[in-house]
Amino acid sequence: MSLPGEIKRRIQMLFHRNQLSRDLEDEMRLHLDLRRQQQLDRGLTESAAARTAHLTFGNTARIKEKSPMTWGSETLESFFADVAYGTRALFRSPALTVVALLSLALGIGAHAAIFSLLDAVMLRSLPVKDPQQLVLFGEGHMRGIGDDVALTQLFSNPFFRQFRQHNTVFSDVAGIFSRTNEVHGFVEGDNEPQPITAQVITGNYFPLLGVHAYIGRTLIDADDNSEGDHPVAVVSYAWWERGLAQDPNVLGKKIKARLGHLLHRRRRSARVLRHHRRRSSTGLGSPRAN
Amino acid sequence: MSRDEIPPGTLYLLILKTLALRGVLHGYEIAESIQYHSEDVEEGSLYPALQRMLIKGWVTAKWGVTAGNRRARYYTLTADGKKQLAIELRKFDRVMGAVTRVIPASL
Repeated sequence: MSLPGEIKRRIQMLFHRNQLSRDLEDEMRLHLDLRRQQQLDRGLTESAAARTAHLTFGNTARIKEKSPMTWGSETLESFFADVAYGTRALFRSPALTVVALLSLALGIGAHAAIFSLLDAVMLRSLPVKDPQQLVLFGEGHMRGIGDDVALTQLFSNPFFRQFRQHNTVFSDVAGIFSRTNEVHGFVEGDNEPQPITAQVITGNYFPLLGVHAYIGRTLIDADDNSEGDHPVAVVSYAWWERGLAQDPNVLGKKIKARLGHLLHRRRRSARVLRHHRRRSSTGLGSPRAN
Repeated sequence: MSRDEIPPGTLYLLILKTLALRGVLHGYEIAESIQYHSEDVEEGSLYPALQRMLIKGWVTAKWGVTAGNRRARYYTLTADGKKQLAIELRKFDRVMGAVTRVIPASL
C-alpha cells in the first residue's frame, strides 16, 4: 500500500538515529514532567508525585527498547557481539581452530587452482582476433599421423591445398597440429638439450589469427611456399620466458631439434601463442614446408 | 503487581480514534484522552506505538510549543491514518463480536 513510503521512512530513521533518540527522550521527559505536575496539583508531595508519574509511565529504558529505532541497531550490535564471542571461543581451542583453518585453506586453494586452470583452458576465449568466429575441423587430437581408414579428423596436404583454393565459406584456412612433437633440442649457445614442444603449422596461421609477434615477426605465407627453403620458427612467449631466459638476442639463433633439420629461430609471438588445449604447451611453431 | 500491556492493535485504535476526535495533540494529551488514569496500564508504551504509526504513515508529527512553553511534538492524523482507523474498528468489532458470542454480556 504505502510500502515505499514506509521503507523510505525506515531508512531515514536509520540515518537520524541519534537525533531521533534525543527527540524521544525529550518527549518522554515532557510527559513525565506534566504527569508529575498534575499529581502535585492534586496535592501529593514532590516525591510522591514523582513516584506516581514514573509508575504510571512505566519503565523508560524498556520502553525505549521497544521503540522501532532500536530494532536495526540491536540486530547489528548483537551480531558483532556474537562474532566477538565466536572468535574468543576459537582462541580457546587452538588445535581445533588450526585444523579447521587448514582444511578450509586446502579446500579453497584446490578449488581456486582448478578453476583458474579451467578458466584459462576452457572458459576464456582464445586471445586471438574474433575467437568466436574460429572453427576447428575435427577435435585436434590427431597430431598429423594416422593409419586408420576414412579418418575424418586428419586432413592431408593436398586436401588442405584444394580446400583453400576452393574455399568460399571461410575467410581463410590454416593447418595446425601437423606433427606436434615433444622433442629435445639444442639452442645455439647452450650445451644442454632442452625439452621443446614443437608444432608444424601452415604459414598463414598467425595472420589468420591476427596474432602479432612480441619481438621480430611471425610466420607468413611466404615462409611456406617452397620446400626446405625457410628454416624458421616462432617461439612462444612462455618458452622464451622459461627456457630461453628472455634472451633479447634470440632472433636469428639457431635451434637444432629432432624435427630433422636445423632451424633458425625467429621471433617470438606474444604470450598469446597458447594452445587452446594445453597451456603454453607449444614452444615452437614451424612452417609446414620445412 | 504485574501490569497489563494494552495489545498493540487496540493501542493503535485508541490513538487513531483520539486524534480523529480531537485533532492535533501531543503525547501527554493523547494519554489523557485515552484516560490512562489507572496505574494498571503503562502509559509509556504510547510512544513506541506513535513512532510505529509515524513509520507507517498513519500520523505526521511536528514540533511545537505547549501552553506551558515546553517543546513538544504534535501529532496529526493523515489520510492513510483515517483509512486505518476504519480498518482497526472493523477488526476490533470482529474480535469483540467473537468474544461476546462466547461470553454473553450479561454474565
